[in-house]
Amino acid sequence: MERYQRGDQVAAQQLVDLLSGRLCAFFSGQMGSPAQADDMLQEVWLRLHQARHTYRHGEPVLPWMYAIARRVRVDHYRRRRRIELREVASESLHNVPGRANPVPDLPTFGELIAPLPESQREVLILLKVNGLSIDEVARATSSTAGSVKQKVHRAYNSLRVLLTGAARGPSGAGEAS
Amino acid sequence: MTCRDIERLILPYAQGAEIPPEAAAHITGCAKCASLVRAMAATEPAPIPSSERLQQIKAGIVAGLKPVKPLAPTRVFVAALILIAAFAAAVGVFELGTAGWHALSVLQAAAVFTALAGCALVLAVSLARQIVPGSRVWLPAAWSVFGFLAIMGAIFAILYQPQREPTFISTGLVCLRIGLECALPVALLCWLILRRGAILNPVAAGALTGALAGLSGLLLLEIFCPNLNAYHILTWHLGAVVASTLGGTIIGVIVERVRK
Repeated sequence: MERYQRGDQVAAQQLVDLLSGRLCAFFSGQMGSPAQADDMLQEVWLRLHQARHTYRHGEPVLPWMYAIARRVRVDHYRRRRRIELREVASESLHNVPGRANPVPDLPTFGELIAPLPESQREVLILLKVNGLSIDEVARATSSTAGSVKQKVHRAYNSLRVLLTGAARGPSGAGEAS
Repeated sequence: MTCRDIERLILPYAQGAEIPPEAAAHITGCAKCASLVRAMAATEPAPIPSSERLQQIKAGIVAGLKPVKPLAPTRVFVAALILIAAFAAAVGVFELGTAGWHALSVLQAAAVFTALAGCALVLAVSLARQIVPGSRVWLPAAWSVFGFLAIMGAIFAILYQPQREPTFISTGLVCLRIGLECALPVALLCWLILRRGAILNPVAAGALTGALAGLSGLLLLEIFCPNLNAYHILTWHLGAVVASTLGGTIIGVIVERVRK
């Protein structure tokens, strides 16, 4: 990262190779679509490039990177939501898609956390998919470690209820979501 | 071992770590925890970015790559922000005088100026961290702003006596105008400094900037205004801080919308 700040082209390319997979996993987990995640990569790298001077030597790189990636995702989500709302208003409600490819047996991680609130889903993805520690997640989401722990606890409680409902029958999960 | 204790072990277990025997015993006996642990341990193949996309990104970055100087340490920004706030208040005091300072008792002066100094430090640190993505947050921005207003409000309510005042609005509006006239240049100068970093949350940054600028106005008013009526101070002096904070927040909201 320091070499990248000094203008080293090789370091910049190595960084893209090293971090793009993690960013893709982050976006894919949040947006549920690898294709969209791939599209988002370009935008996030543009922002990372513009903000590279804000990385301070000795600080962890991942929270810095995910904090920017998170902002890109939020901006993208709000933009997309506005467009979708306009489309729904101008067309009709019969085109609203349902959940794609329901899996009858075990849910994937994405499907499992889909019913959770945005903030809880984000924290679980950063912890499980991206492998960040509680402290790193707190830095990336501009919150305190205590707040992250609370979100994780609430997410686990919700998942326990959802999983118990799913074990009883498929209607249980549908109602909870 | 409780279900809450198990939560700390779920992710290490999912990543292949051994779990203590008492945790294993709990999971065996608790259906909810067992299903949660199983679900969280399930792995999926990680998505891989397309090579064309990576090439595009690399080409874009390498094409305009120039060396950049990393941001100065947080303490430099904190010092600059506090100096701006103090300097603006000092200029105002130089113009308007120190009648308020002489009217204060020792207790009032000690409480008000100690609290103002502490709040200025907290607001400046929160603000300086807003411009560095991934900074450690020890106090959320909203808490810093509301804490500042609550502390100053409590001090004024406790240490100052309420009185009936026939010219409540006319004298109050003068104080409000002076407070805001001091806050405005502070906010503009702070914003110029903050633009050097990356502001990810313009609303929080705007609110904190407004609060720090309002603090500068409040500092000036406490030194200049000899009116010790609690109603006057709570309404007009603290009102200048509230107006400044609201102004900063609104500008932050506008910046965020324009950005999108």
